[in-house]
Amino acid sequence: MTEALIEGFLLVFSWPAIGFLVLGCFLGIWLGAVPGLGGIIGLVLLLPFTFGMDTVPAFALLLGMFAVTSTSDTIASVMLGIPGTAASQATILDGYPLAQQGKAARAFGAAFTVSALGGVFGAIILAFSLPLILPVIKSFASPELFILGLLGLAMVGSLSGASILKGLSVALLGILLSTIGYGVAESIPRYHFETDYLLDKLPLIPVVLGLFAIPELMELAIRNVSISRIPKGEATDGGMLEGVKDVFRNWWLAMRCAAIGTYIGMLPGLGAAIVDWVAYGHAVQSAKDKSKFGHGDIRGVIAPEAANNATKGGSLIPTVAFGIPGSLGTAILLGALLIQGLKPGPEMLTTELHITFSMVWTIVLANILVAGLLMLWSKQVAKIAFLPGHLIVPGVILFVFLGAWLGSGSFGDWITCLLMGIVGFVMKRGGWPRPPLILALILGNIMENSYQISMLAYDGFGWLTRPVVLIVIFLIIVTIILSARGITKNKKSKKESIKSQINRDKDLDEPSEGGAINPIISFPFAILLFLLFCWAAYEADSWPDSVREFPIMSAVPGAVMVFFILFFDGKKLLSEITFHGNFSSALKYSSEKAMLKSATQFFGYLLAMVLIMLLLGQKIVLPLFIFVYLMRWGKYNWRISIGYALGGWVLMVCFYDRILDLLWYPSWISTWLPEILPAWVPSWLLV
Amino acid sequence: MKIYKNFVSAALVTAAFSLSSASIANAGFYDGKDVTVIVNAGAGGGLTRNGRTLSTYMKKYLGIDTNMIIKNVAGGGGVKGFNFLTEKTKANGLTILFGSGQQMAQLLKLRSVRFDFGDIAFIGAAESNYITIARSDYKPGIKKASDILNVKKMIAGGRGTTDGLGIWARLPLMILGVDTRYVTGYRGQPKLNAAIRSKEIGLLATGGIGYFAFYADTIIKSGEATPLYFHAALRKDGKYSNAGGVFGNVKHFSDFYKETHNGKLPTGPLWEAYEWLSMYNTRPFGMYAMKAVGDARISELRNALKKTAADGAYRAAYKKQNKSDPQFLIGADGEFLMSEWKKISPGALAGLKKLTAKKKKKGGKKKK
Repeated sequence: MTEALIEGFLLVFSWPAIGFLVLGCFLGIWLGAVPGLGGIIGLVLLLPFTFGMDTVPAFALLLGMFAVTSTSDTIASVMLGIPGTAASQATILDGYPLAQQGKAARAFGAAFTVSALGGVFGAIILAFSLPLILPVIKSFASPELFILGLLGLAMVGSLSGASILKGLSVALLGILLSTIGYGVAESIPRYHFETDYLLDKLPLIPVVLGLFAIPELMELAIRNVSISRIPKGEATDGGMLEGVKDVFRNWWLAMRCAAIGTYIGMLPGLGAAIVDWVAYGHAVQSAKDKSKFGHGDIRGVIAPEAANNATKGGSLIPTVAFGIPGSLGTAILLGALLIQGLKPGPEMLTTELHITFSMVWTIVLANILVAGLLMLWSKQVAKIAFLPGHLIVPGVILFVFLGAWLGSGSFGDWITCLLMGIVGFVMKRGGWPRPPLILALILGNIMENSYQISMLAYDGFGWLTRPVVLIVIFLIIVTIILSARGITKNKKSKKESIKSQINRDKDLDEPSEGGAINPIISFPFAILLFLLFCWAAYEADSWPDSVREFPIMSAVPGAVMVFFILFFDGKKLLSEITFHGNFSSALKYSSEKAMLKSATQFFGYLLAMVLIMLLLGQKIVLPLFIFVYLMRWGKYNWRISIGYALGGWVLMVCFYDRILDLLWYPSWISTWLPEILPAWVPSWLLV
Repeated sequence: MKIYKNFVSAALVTAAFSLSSASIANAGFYDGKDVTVIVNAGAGGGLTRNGRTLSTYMKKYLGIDTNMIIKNVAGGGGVKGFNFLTEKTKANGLTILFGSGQQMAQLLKLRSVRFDFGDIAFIGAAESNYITIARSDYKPGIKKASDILNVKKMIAGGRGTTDGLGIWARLPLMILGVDTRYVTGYRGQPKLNAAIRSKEIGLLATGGIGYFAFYADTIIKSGEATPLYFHAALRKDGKYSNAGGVFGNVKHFSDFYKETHNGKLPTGPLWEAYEWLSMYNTRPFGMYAMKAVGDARISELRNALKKTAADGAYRAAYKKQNKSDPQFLIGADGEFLMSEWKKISPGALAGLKKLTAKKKKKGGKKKK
């Protein structure tokens, strides 16, 4: 084993492998940092180039890129409150508030350090776990995956912020959304509104980008503030070194989360998409003082970042050893393995062990290299937090809508992104936590699939007596008890908490996730949600049991919970009306507080962009949006506006068109413009 | 001097014009163009890998500086890709589809089907083969293929009721009369791989690529699983292709049946369905375009595919991936796949319907 370990190390350092590793790392930094891109796109993009390459350089390129996307994705999560990739969704909960407090560099320091440590630690755990892996994989079948999904949902209590009832309702909404499309057991389409787009399932990327990115960008646009609400120079304890020290102060948490990442990464089906949420939930539950989570607690950055890097190594081993990929990314890597003529199997852990170790070394080296590079650059990147909001908004809108387009390359992606943007805004302003929706949307699909398989394969509920299932049920009970204790404690110190929260929120002018109190917005949203749950249950009633089980399981309790929320929100609404004298005064106050008028205008801009896209296509409409936004909303002069718009166009043409080979929307002008263009003007410049 | 300069300029202009005219005269339609190849399956699977390999070699036969770009449109067992081709792309010859044909989906009038196979032109398709394997420790023990006949209730796994993997797992068991509980929901071979290893299912079917990638050197070699029989493409002359030779001593299902049933072949609707599926459901690596692109474009595509299929380097790359030589039907040779599938016998149709019928379950109240 030692020989293979050394040989693997030397292989990675041989030429040209090391060169491809560095190239992969640079690509990974870019793909991770841009919202909506990520490692999967990178793998699809690079895979054809590895056809003619030797094994070690090929994997140095692929793994070098893939391993580090979950390090650089921190940039968008912290700076913009937008998950750079699916693996860094939980990082935004505390990373973005840190940036708002002018402590982006500290968040980066902690995130990059712990990413490197997590990656290395994950690889070490992996190396020592090799003999254990086969029994672990064999003991995790569909029942275990279902019950682990349930454990993930039990974490909702930790992600719900101020209102656990709203958190649970939102989680049920996430599960309901996950049931869109064909049923698992039978090909009966659910809630698809006769559209092809919704036949399979709702793509995750447009939902995440809409839910998180658009509300944050709207805030920046309306207020024209910088990301940091605190002027440059006034922020204290915000240095990068402080972040590094934070990691060593919380080293035990970092190690635990790296272990969580490694082992969850190993389980096929769960993959990297939920590992950050589980690690975050663990950090909240295991913390003595939970009050700062959601307000810029550095532990909320350390936990998910340690886990999401460790998961890459974890998912690699079952892929190479048994051909069982833990995630979509490793499924593509499996394809690369087969193209290289390698076969997943015991040979990869015996005669080809040096190749396996070269992959592990690639992950380790890539993590260290990129963490170092990003540390060097983080001071410069952190300065973006102090730029005027108007300069940030149009560029990020371009990335967000192109990222959403990558979901399935359909017009539906843009509609979903926009609709989820509106939902995200209402939820944020109405005090409904958004993270449980994403967690449930991801888990819902895995859980329904595993549940249906379990019921069929074990002919009913026989699977409930399996040992691992029983252990996880015990863990779920412990999690619920801990959450319940947390609620009781919160109630005791409610007055103090509200007071401190109000003070904190006042300082930042920014309530925490689910912490906003605005019954005039929350109450109508609750009514809509109630109607939605009732309609979904009614609609599902006509389907066979196997198809309707999950929709009913989410819609009925969802309706009951929202009914209670309506009762509580109704009471708050009445007291708000009483306080302001009449309904119209209360409405006026709440509208101003939520900036409804400006928000409507902003959404109007986005809606106009989406509609004009049908005529002009993306390559024209997105630069046009940048230009119009800067001129009309940002009041910049035409030189800056045109220059910025041109920059956006060049990026779209050079990167998204020429490199990513994106299939663009077939707009109205694309049907006739190429015919009339002179032969020397390539049509791909415009349509 | 001035005359000399003018002369040189005129000569250069004339030369440039002649060159450009010549190049225009010889230019192929696909020169310098991007061709989008829709693959009607997910990004990480064998179909996409084969599509990428084929594109890598085919583009040079299609034109000078031609680029072939893979776009995955997965879903509905391949139906979504054809919907996309017929509804969302222009019939200009710059978009083609690589993947499994959807004759069965159209025949059974699946609700997701919105294309008409009559609108689609056949470029070419390579044969493939499938194999069924079972856990050796499945009660009462499956140490050799014929032991499957002693199984009282088999738990088989697959993606759904109409996909290839599920069909090749279930249909032979139905023909053999083995009582089967069919578990759907496994999205692809890696999930089935995990399921058979964790003993969640006892039997599965896989394509030749998956067999050699995941099972041959692992659970088959170790004796944890036993290969039962394979399924191959039925050719126009009524003979099965010999592609199954790659599976060593494993027999074709028809030979296995004869061996265990006194030399007789099965009869009845299910067997007729088996034969129909062997004809139309065993060529997953097919290339299609819209008929509306015109005969000239179709012909160019067929010629390029023909040259690629004969290219030694491509054949070697194909063999490396699939463990067998590529067996292509190109152009007119394969037209019957597009025209004769409707001529299904009533028995075969009844068999297909029986195979894909949904199990009656509780629930499903009718709304007034």
